Amino acid sequence: MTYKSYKIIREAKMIEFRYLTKTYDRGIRALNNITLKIERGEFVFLVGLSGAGKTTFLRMIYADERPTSGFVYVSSKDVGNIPNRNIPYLRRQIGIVFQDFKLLYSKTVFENVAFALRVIGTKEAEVYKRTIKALNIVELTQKKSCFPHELSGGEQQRVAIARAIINDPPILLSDEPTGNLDAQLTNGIINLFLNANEQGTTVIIATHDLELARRYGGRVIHIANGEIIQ
Amino acid sequence: MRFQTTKYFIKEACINFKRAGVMSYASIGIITVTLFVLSLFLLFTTNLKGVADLLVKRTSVLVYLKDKIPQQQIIEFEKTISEMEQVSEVVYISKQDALKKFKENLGENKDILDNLPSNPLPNYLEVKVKRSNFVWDELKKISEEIEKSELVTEVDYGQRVVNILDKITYGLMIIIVGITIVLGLVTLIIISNTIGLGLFAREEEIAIMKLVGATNWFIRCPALIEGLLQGIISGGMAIGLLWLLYKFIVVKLSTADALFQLIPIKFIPLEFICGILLASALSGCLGSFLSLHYFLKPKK
Repeated sequence: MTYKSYKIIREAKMIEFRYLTKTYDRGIRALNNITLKIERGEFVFLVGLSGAGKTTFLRMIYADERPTSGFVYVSSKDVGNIPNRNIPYLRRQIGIVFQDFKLLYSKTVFENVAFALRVIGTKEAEVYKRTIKALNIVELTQKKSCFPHELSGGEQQRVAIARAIINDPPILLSDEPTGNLDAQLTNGIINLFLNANEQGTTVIIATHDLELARRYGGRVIHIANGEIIQ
Repeated sequence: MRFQTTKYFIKEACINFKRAGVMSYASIGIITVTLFVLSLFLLFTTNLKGVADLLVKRTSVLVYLKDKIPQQQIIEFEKTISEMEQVSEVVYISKQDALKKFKENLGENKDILDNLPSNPLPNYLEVKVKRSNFVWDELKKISEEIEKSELVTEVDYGQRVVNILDKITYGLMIIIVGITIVLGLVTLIIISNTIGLGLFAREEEIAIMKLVGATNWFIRCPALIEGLLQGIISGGMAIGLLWLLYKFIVVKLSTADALFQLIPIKFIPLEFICGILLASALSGCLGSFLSLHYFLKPKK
């Protein structure tokens, strides 16, 4: 079965890039010959200026882009050559928090979070139970009937996180999660990721803020002009 | 597919349909008009066949016989014909009777026939045919069967009328098939555009669906249902309009000349109604499918 063949096993070697290069149209090289491993349960900050290749790095993992050359493995599966029809099954096991949240503005907070379960055909009773649980974790149960535009930036960020963690994914990716937030809100958000990490989830946070990475510890990968430095 | 998922799809389709608002109604309106034009042609053909049948039903087959056939043989031949399945009556008219009839028809001028050296008219049989739905074909079949006999010189079943009507109907059929194809394409383009516009407004939503692991079919289904809905509603409305028009014509004709009252105006048969509905539903689905292609094509 397709789902089983792309089931991410929580194994030691979670993500591996091997000689990976990504060149966009017109020859823009976003990633250049990257080789690295991220082990199971690691908490990783991917640090670099904007345009350094952080977002492309993350997109490689959830097969939103394909390598120009080289390989990317997730749980030992060659994701760079994953057949299109299997991509949905891979993504169901990766929680993603986007820089711009990517919330559905016509749906309520509850529906936004439940969306991730509904698209994979979860039973309605289960959807309710798990959505409430996820909203509880991000402390937004009170606002479940609000629409995203009625929320602050930090609250919208938490809705996005609730949606990302609702499936209890083995991998959690986040692109600039604290971009526009003040120190206190940033702290709250990072704590959510740390909690997930404690449950065994591999977390990768892309940020331009080196200070943030230093403050919370964890592994730091520096990226500049599409290359890993140090 | 699970009932719950199906329910979700239908709900989504209805929401998107409503959200498209004026666009949905506009597209239904245009598709209704196209389908209405199409069904109007179908109504016309249906009734043209009716008129043709009416004309043919009033003719019978005339079988002209050779001269000097013994009476006994004619009686036997008459019997053979009257035993044929679709034949209702056979009347023998002899040369003499035919001439007498002709003279009667001439009235005052009947004298001109007095100087004929012999009677030029043939003996003939008038074969009347039972009414059926396939009058043309039956007439042709019977005539061909009779023509095989050695006693017969010629069979006249109104071939000329039948042939002309046949040609008209055939020509119309070709025109209708052509128009159907064009209107079908128009319907397809309209539905594909309307739903496509709706999809552009929801491009972000579709992208998010893909990112959280929705399969292409999960994204497609609500849009397909939406197209189906537009198609069926338009088809139903076109048939409804046609029905109203039909009723109007029937009422008008019933008060018109006696000549028109003889022509039985029929509504398009059930098969055509089903065909229109099915075709509109399918083109709705196909239109959606085509417009979705843009959003679902994989990245290189």
